[in-house]
Amino acid sequence: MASTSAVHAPAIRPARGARTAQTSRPRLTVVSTPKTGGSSMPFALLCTLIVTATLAALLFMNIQMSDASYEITRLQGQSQRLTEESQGLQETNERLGTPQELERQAREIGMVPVSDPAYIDLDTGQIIGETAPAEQTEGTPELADVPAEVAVPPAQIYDEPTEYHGMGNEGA
Amino acid sequence: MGDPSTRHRLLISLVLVAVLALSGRLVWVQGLDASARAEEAIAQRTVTRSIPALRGDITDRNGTVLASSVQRYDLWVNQTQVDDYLANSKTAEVTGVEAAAQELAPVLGWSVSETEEALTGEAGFAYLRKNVEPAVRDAAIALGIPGIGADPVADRIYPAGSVAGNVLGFVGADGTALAGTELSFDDELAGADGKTTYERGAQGQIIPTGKQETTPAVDGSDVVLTLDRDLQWKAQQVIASSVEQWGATGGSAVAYNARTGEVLALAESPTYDPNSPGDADAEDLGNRAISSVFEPGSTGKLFTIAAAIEEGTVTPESQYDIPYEKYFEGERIKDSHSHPDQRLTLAGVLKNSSNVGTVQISETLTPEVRHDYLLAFGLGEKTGVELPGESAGIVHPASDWTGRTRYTTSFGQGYSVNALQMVSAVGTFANDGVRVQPSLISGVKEADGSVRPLGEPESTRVVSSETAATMQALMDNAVDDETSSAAVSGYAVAGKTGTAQVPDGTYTASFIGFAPADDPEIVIGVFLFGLDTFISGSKAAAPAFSELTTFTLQNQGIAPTGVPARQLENEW
Repeated sequence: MASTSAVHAPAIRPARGARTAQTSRPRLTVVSTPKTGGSSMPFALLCTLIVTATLAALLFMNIQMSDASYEITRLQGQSQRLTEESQGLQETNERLGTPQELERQAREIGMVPVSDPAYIDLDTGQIIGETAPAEQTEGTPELADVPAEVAVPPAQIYDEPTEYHGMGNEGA
Repeated sequence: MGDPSTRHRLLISLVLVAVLALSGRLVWVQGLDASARAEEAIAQRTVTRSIPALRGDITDRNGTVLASSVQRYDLWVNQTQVDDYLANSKTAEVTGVEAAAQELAPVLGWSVSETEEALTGEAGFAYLRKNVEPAVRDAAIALGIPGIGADPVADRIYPAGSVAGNVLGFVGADGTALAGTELSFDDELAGADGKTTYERGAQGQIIPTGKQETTPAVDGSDVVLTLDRDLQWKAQQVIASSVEQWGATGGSAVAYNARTGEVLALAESPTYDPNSPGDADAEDLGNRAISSVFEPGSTGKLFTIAAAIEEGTVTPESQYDIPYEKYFEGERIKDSHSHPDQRLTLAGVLKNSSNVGTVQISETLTPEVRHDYLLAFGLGEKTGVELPGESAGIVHPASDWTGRTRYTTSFGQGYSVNALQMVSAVGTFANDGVRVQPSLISGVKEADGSVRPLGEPESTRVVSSETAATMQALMDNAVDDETSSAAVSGYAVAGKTGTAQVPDGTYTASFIGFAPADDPEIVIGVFLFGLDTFISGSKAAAPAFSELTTFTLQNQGIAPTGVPARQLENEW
């Protein structure tokens, strides 16, 4: 803050009775310039400024905090949504990864279980066992041919009808 | 009173009294009673929410999730408010319940009439649909129908359905563990609920300067099973097919690693889907492999022979005269099928599963010794597998083996076992003579992803390595890889069939074996309970054993050893 104020230096009047006491000349000393009265404005301004700044800062911080609080609420909502979305995807992944589903899909594209696998010994390069191209074999003949999805059905959470059968506007 | 100064004073006094009263009240409220008031206000805006702990997953040995907890919502309706839907709309053609039903029906996957029915009534609170997925809840809430709300709930899902259902068990609607691993490992799985306390603004946001206290929830730990999900699925499929084919009332299939004690598959049929255990019969909710006890029948001959070999009273070449029937101290013992007199070696006795021969072998030992061997093989005591509902079976003390029992116990009658005990006991031969306690739990998953084991399984040496090797050869010899329905293409199979009559008149057929016979690791047992007629284990259980073993060897990556099956002298 730059502010200037005129310095009122009162003129020092010569003492009138100086001559009357010529004999005992008074000892004169240099007195310092009396303190100027000055203006109280700067200080008041300073105080006001401090108060205003404090209030402003407080207000600002409060606004920030409320803002942050609302933002937290919003982000929590978003986080919740994303968690749910991720969970949904994970559930889909788990459903598609179940043995029942993999079996069904493998059969759909014409795969059959291997009944006579061969192995390669990586140390010797030797082939262990004999195998033949996959035929449409039907498992062990002595074992009853119970369809896989009957023997071990898919989870009941997945086969309940979640799809809607109509347009939602019939009878309107 | 007429005097103005008197009136003036009176007025002043009144004002003073009023001021005094007000100041007193002010001091009271602001000064003396301030904290109580403030607390009342804080209490009004302070809410405490419970933070539910998430129940831990149950995974198989490879970390595949078999049971997990998910967020679901219970949709509810206040039927008295639905009529207000679109009530103020100027454009809507239909309003109230009818309009709400049309909007809500596709979201819920219901027909409009069904939905309308559900929304109509005077109930202040009625569940519309429970356990809906978050997407459905969001869609339903987004419609803005008055009176429709949702409460979050945690649901337990088992993605693979009945696969391993019998081992997993299930939880009740309120999350209480009721069966299986869910029950026996509830302490690890459950976790501890936390809570958060905060001051809440009008819109539900947290007041930042307010007091906040949060005790975080401690989620449950994941429990890792020893099961392999794919193998378990195959085992269930195989056992279900066998039960269906032979009209058994139930069946169990067990795949067990004899070296580590890990149970790779514990399959039951009929079984249940833990997602909806209520749909199954109560008797199908457990594990027959550990709860159902039966007389093992011919598979029990293995223990008699192993004991005699270990005690040095017989060798695989020991020779026996085998008539169809023979009297031992007045007790008539006969073989399962009529045959002319045979001259069989010990190997031949096991291969032909001769009762007469086995009794002759057992008579080289005292009943006490045989009894002690049965106990050493783990029969008559619980396997200690981590599932509720195990039955130990009964092995009576040798002093009670009077009369006929003395002889029948040699061929697996007169004592009772459960299926897992039998597989683990036969596993002794596959593991160098050491029996390892079966286990279904690998451990508990730690925060860093490592699995903390729950202690080493107990190992007991039952017979010497030499005896175990001899037993492998005998069991290998007992299965004819050319003709047996237990054969596995490319592998030498060792095993033993068993059929025993149950007191209620039905039969239990079984096959327990392993492959490759010269270097076994995994023992597989197939058991069919409640057969109406005598169907031998080789007919009923062996094909299932073959199919399951074929799959297991591929699944576990066990290559053939190339060592041909051993042929011992069966006759002399």
